[in-house]
Amino acid sequence: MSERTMSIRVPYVTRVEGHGNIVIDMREGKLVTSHLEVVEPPRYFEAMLKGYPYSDVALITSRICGICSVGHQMTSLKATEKALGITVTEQTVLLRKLLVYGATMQSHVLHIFFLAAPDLLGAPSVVPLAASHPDVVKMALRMKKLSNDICDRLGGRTIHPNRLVPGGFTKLPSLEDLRWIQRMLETQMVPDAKASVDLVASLADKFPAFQRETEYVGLRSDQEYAFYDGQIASTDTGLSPVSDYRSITNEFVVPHSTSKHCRHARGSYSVGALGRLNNNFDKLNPMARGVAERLGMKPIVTNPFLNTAAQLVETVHVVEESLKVLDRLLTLGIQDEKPVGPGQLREGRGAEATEVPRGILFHDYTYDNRGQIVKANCIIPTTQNTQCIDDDMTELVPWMLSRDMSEETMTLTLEMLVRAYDPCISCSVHFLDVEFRR
Amino acid sequence: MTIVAVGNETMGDDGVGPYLAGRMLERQAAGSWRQGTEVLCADATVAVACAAEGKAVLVIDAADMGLEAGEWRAISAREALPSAAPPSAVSPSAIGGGSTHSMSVSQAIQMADALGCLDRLRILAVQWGSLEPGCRLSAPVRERVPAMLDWIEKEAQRWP
Repeated sequence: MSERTMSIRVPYVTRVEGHGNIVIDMREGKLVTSHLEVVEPPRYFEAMLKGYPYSDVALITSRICGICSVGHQMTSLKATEKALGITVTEQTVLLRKLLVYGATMQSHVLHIFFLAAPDLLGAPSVVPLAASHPDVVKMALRMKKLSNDICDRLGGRTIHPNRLVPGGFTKLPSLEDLRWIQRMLETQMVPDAKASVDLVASLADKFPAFQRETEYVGLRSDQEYAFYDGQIASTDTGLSPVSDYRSITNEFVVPHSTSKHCRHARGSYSVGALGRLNNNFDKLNPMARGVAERLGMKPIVTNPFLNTAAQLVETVHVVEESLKVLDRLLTLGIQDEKPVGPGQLREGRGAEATEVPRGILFHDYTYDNRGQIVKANCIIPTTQNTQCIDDDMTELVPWMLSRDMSEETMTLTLEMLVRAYDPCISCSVHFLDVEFRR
Repeated sequence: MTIVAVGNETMGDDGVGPYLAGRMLERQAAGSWRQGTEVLCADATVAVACAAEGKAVLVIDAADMGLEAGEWRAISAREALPSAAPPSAVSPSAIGGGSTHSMSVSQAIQMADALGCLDRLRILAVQWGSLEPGCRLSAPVRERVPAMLDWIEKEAQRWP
């Protein structure tokens, strides 16, 4: 191993969103290159927002992602409301949380079953998995469809919801909608989630036993396991206000990626289900906590491959949390509220964060006194994870070599690592600041 | 019958499915459309999920069949199966051509086959004329919408 020369190229990592390449070069036992190349072109969303009125911004930013469209819309609405001084009602907050939980189920189920499960069950993709494990795929389809339906009933569409505006909702769900969601969660999602836990527990030995200590970052709230709101929590440095997000993200540019990279207390940090779990374990609902313990997960979990297992814990958690929110909403009844307006428009800035399936998401807007965007900044979870993926690879390659893995197994394991982060590569690409020096 | 309309309304004729779905829902609301028909705008994953639940599903999608814009063909998923890539060739992404955002109709056909519910799927493919971003339906496709709706209504009456 010490004198080994090796080159691994995965020119198109499959079962992730977007286009990324894995590049590993080892010369005479020395690891020269180990990184994930992000090669997609920047998308200029922040520049596109300039001049748009506050009423349109969340509808545009929702299009950053087809999976996290709810998360982008929610973070955008919160940032706009903060900038313009809008305070929303309890009903709006409860309905938004319910939608965030539905979108979390939608995305986590997609990743666990359609993207990660083929690795754990020895299939090249979910289509052959349907042939070898039809009951698993049928269950996944049921869970995915129900979480789609929840988003549809609350937001008006399964993706890119069209009922959410600054200050509230343009159309409210009926009590019948809420009762339907409650009934379906209790009768369908809970049993399917339990069966999913049994499945993943039976596959626990398929996750590589690799560990690497790093910093984990996620929102944290005193009230609950934070998805919708909270302060920024770091396992290294504790709590920071969301307004200080730039002191956490510290974006920088690397030559091999059109996605910026981030670092905070160490060379990199991790966000996502593990970032949340490691900062909110004490806030897990009882059933989810039992699932975490059954899967051997207790903070601080330092195996990045277990992000998928953490997503399953969170799926159970958000089902439980949704039922709590539904109880509250059904007790209060749905009030016919109109969206709260901004009053007199004024210049303002609002930076807000939401936990979306892949981790903490920041939107930061500056408005002029006509309510139009002057400046925008969006930092998405995959941008925050790219350096961590590189750092994981740097330790994972020697770890695999010490176990005499074949290059084929190493390649698969590297792909599994990237997939474990559930990266949204297209969303991570960002405008690069170019400096010309003469 | 469940109708699953696939497509993007802001991409020209790619939105023919959602456009037809919208008109069907209007007719349903007006009481002039078969009430038992479930009409969904969704990706093809939902079509497989419905078929796996035992429902008869009609998937409506834009396609390039070398026909004149607005012409349509209805085929069973079984007839379409040979032209869908075999499972071993599913790449580059497990679902969706190059994206995880949604499952393509051809992959939905393969999955329905693997799950044993292929015969519950039918496809209504509409030849597109333009897929211009930011545009609505092209004139040739829009002109044929009433005839398509009449055909779908008759089809819905034949199915359970």
